[in-house]
Amino acid sequence: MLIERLHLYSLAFMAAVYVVRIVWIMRFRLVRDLARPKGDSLRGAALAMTTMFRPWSMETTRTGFIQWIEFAVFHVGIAVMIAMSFVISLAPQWLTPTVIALVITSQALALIAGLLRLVKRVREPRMRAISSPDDYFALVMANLLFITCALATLHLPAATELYFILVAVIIAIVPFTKISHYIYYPFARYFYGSYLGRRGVAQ
Amino acid sequence: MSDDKELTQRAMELFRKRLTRQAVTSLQVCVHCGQCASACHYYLATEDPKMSPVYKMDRVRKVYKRTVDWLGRVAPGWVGAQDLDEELLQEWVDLAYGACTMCRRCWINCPMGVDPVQILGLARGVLTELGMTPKGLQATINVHLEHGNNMGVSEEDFVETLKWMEEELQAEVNDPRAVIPINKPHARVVYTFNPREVKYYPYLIQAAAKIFSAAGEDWTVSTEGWDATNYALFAFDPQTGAQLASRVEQAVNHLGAEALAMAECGHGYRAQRWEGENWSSHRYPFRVVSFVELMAQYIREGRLKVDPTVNTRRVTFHDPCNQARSGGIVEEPRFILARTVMDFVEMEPHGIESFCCGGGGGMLAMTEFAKQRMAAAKTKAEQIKATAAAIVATSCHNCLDQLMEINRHYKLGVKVQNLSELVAAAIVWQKN
Repeated sequence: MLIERLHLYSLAFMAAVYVVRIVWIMRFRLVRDLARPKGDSLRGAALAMTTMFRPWSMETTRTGFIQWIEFAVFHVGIAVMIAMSFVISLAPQWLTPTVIALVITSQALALIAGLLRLVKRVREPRMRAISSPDDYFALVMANLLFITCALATLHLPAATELYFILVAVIIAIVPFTKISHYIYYPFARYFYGSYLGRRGVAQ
Repeated sequence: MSDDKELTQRAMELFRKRLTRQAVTSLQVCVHCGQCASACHYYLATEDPKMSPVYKMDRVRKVYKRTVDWLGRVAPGWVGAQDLDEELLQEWVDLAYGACTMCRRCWINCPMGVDPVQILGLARGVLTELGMTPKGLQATINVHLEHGNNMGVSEEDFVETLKWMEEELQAEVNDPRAVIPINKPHARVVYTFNPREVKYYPYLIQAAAKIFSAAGEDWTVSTEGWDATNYALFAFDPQTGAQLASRVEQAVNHLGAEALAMAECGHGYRAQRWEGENWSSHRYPFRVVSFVELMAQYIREGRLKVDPTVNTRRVTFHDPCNQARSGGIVEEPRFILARTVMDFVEMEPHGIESFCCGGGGGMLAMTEFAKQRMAAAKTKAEQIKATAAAIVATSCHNCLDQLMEINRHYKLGVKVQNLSELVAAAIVWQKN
């Protein structure tokens, strides 16, 4: 099907851009730490990868637990939405009534989180001060995807087509937007965790 | 080409030269979630959106996006990219130097791991190379380069102060064996001072000497390289940092010591222990330890007998950022205080989550930012008040001075002391 091919082409394009991006970032000089370690940098890095799954380990997620729930719900919604782009076209038999209900619930909750984020970004002065069109765009696209994904699982043809077009578009442009943060996330957490771990300050 | 254009062109060359993989990662990974704001003492005190860490870092990120990042070069307005101009360079001075103590509290509260030292450090380093370091900070570095210490203390005055404190110590403990060895070859430990101790707080030299003597340590001080501070750390000037750190390194090597003990100085400890070897690209043939670690070791090993009943007033502890969050010394002060004071209470938060006092990042040398510095210290003042402590202990001189100023400004009515003062007071002197 054309839609499925578009999806695959977008994925291939995204993968190619990410490879180029990672090669590009690897060209920058890596600062090595000669100082004698006090702790284990690898342990620190491993712990750092899981910080966001342990909201009690970081002050802002511990004290702002509602915000952490919003973050978790939003990102679970993203993961489900991405998974559905494969399931709907490649394994539609998996879409039992229970699965559909779960998908719609996750997308609805993620949409609420996404809308709250958008409202916060527009209303709060400290968020407005740091927001560019790219920031608003990412949230608007995510919210649209949550809506169309939920409708696509109900096999509504127009919604399904729109969902896959949006998926193809977002996949193709993600490497150029802030949504690409997930590619840099492992690098950033590794540097953070290994630095703290090396100094014997693992959280 | 106009002067302005030359300046910004030079700034861009320096900026690109300083981009490392760690810096680029921090620049790329930010998602503008704004979570860092609630971790920053500058933002919490003012609620000014321009004081949030993400805003400050974005002043640098804008330039990165415009000149290095793909989308920023093609569609700058879309991602908030901006060319570097003189106005933005001045903003870098005001924000990177004037509104950030590099405490890294935002870093440990960032879901991504964006490091302000990587980003604002980039800005500071570029400004330093352009000769735009704030005057007070640069003056401190220049004095250190010229005189061997950042307060311009002459060797004669230094040795005289040591001799005076030795006399005071011997009178205090009534023991002529309590000495301050100077330039003793092959001593196990070489101890360095913060020059403020020599000039304004000589009793801290006496306290350190008492601790070393009571613990039976084989120690000495050097007249060659005795200054523990390294303000080049704050200016992100690795060449000068290496130069200053190497003076201390040479002193230790010439005396053939096993270990270098850094006085209670947060940035000095971090500069020598964690940055010095990287700046000079070689490993030291000796260990670098903090005096805090040594005191804890002496107590743990039973070499230092202490009586906590001497320190009866309630004590709380302020964790210096460079010592705790960036230096890994968190448990040792608590171990010490649990055995040397009767009533210890933690500030909340504490340890690696501790709030900066506001004196970090070279702030105390930059008087033009004093008003913002004291305003940003409100959070720390409230923390201290909440403990109802009579004494605030710390192990960093910049923190000590800043906490004393906070005490006066916010009328807290506390006494601020170095950890070594409390330890020295609690020592049970063993005559034999």
